[in-house]
Amino acid sequence: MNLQVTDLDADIARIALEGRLDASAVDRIETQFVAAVARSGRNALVDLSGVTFIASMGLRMLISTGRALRQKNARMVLVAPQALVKEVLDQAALGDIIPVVDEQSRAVELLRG
Amino acid sequence: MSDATDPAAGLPGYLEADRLVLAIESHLSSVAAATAAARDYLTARGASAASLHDVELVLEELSVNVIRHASADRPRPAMTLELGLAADAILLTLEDDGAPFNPLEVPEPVRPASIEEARVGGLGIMLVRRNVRSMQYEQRNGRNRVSVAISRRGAWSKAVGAGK
Repeated sequence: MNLQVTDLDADIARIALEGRLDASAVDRIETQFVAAVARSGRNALVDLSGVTFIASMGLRMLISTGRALRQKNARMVLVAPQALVKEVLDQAALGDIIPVVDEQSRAVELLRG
Repeated sequence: MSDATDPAAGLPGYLEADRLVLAIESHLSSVAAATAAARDYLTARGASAASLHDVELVLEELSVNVIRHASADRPRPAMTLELGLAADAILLTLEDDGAPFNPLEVPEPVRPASIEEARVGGLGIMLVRRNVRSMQYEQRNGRNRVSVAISRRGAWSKAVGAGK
């Protein structure tokens, strides 16, 4: 599981995750992910296009980090999950609490709006 | 995919005698090794990407649940995975010697209205329920034994019963 951070602008950090987001990966990456997301309290655009698998520990990581962001009045949007990953997000109704969109441009719109 | 809500639903018999049987230790690396072995076993039998994913997800959730909920008063639980194919389903059983725990009794998480209210408990078992056709639990010889049937889906590349 790899993580890459880029600044889209002063208010949006793009965090791209790549690989499997199983319990083992979350163990290894969570500290880094939380730091990348919480840094300066910017909105977080989490690019999931490179994630091949997500399980409940991965969902927990996204939810707890998204919740921490809300406490800083910032938001998280999830972008471009692969089909099998999206099924899991839908089963957990994650989209009810963290927006899931297919395109980065849409995510930017949501975060700037 | 249908929810696994009927504990009395019978599980279909095994199609093949050569099930995969593996020991899994209470380490995430052992779970990863078991997942890789399960993938190899199923891929050799023509499994679709979707079915591989379903099995990986269920195995991950059930085994990680055992590890995470292990009692501090007992030795870390040892697990055994059994995996086999039936005519229209993949049969998976996970047995562990941890403290008695019946995942069928785990309540569905309450759907939160907002991320502020979101709680993270119960997600794993919920995902198992969403991805299996049936789930059974029994205590056998002091061990927890969870058996699930996962409907095959997607394009399997070998016909049922075809040679390996």
